Amino acid sequence: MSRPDVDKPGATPPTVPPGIPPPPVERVDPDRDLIDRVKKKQIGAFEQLVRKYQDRVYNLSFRFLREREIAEEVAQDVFVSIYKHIDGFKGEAKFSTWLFRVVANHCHNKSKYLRRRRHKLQDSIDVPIETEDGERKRELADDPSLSPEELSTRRNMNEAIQDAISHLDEDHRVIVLLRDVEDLSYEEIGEILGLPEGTVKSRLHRARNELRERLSKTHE
Amino acid sequence: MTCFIAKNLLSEFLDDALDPARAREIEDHVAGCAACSKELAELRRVQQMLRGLPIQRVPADFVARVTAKAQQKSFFERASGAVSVLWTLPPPAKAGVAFAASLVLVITVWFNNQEHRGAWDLGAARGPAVAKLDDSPARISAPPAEADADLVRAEAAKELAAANVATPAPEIRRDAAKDEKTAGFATGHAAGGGLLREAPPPPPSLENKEAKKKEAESQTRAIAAAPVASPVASPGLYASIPATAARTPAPTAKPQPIRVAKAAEKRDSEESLPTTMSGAPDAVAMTEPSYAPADDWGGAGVDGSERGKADKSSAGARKGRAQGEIATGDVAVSESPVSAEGAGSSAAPGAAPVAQAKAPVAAGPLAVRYLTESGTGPAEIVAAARAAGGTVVSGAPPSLAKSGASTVVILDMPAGSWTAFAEKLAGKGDLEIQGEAPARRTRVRIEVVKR
Repeated sequence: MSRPDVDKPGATPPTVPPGIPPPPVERVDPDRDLIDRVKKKQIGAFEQLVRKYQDRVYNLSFRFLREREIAEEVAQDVFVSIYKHIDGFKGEAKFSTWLFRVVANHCHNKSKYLRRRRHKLQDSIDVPIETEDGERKRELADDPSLSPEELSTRRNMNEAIQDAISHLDEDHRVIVLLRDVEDLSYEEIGEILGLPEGTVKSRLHRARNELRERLSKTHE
Repeated sequence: MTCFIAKNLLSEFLDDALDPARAREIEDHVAGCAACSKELAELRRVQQMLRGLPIQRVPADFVARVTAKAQQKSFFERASGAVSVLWTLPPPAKAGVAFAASLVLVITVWFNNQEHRGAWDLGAARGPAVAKLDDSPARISAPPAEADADLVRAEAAKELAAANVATPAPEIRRDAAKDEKTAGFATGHAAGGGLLREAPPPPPSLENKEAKKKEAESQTRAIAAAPVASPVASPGLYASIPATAARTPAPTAKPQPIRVAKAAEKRDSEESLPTTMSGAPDAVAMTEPSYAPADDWGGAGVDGSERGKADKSSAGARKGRAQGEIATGDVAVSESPVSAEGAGSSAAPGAAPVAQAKAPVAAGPLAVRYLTESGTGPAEIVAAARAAGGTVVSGAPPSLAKSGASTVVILDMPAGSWTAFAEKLAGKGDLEIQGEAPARRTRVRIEVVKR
């Protein structure tokens, strides 16, 4: 069955009778072409995909796991898994939704693995890290307009909030991160975690209250 | 709106997720409620802090590492790839691959079985020997002492091979069974070792002394031609038998202590030889330095039928012999370092311990002959050896000694005892020693030749 060619120049848009709701707008995944090329195992397309999402994936992993090396390992595993299972992506949801679901699963699995190994996750973001290129500074949002005192206060705040996040239950932690760090909608979060929107709202509410109470105690 | 409802909606209010009417209600409530206002302010600050967290960035080589890792194939992927290639082959090629795989499997299984069968074959090769040993109580008796087990095993391997090659054991077993009625005098090839048991010579006849002497001499020559190392071979054979099997008497065996004791007494009284002379010079005794059962080589005064009965006796009879010989003071039983433990272990509970195991002995390289004119040459050898500190492994059969034929005595001589040994024999006969006196304890066979 062919759809009316609405894009043809000069064609008149079909008139919708009053009282009938418009058809649902088909969401167009911005990564659709890229995904198609990755499905054809074009390594260049995969590199583009990695470059586009690498920081978000890594950032979410780091906030969840709070250790740089482990977060990097998880991020690598996520992209490798995406590459190898790209054929399983049917395009029914946005690629980013699928990607963050994979990230969340990997973070959960890694956290469980590390818990079993009695690994204490803690990585101060104040401490510079050593790389092959020498010491690398943390990507702190150093506002040049801030004074050293303000900068120090900002860093302390970051440490405190990261510490509070780490104390959250994993189900709450991932929701807070997806909402307030990744700025995803309730609907997207529900799709990523496979939860109803109401559950997402209630969990987010509890998570924020827990963070609020913990930070209040810290300031006291 | 109550505070309870308002607080539950503050999170959504922050996210602008409430419908405008609900949002206005919250605003109105918060404006008039200090607690809710404070909580909303704190939640807003938490949200600001979360959104203010700096974004962590990956290292510059992250993409390269990810792509390299993504293009690596795991073992399972490679294996599954190889299998999937097989499915793309045409049917004849598939059949060929399947045939080759089956062939490899069959060959592998076959080789594996060969290895195991080698072990079983070895066991089978030893099987008749073990069975033969079961037939003969004297052969079961002597697991070697722990200390000399290695030495004995090494030497036994050679002897076992020679024994198995020399004569097929099943035939010998048939011979032994056939001879049970008449045979008491069991002898064997020196080369064949203690595994072999030949048809016994006819019982000695007093009317035909010359024939008997000839026969005895021919036996002695055969014994003398045997390698010197043969006496220590059998302990190795016994060492190859599991200790439990070697020490466990045959279930059908019945002790016959009284008969054997009587036989020993009869022998002693008739021969008037030292009891140490009761050891057998035959191949059985030579290849088995265990105690030489008197009725096995035909103790004096024991006729053929009695010997045959004794031959049939098994571990129980061995035990009986051990007891009988102990009672009659037959040192030849107890002085063998190997037989001592065997006799002790195979004896019934409560039996007196025979003797302690002695130090390992080595086969002597010597060739020793004792030339004498007296009819009691073996007795002289035994007496001299004991006086010099040696022990008698097996003496000459009294019947042969009495007949004056050449006989063989096997001694276990410690180092440094040879001078004293020769001195004890001075003036009686000529002791011919070819080779150097060994510097350690040595088992040596001495051929006693009547001039």
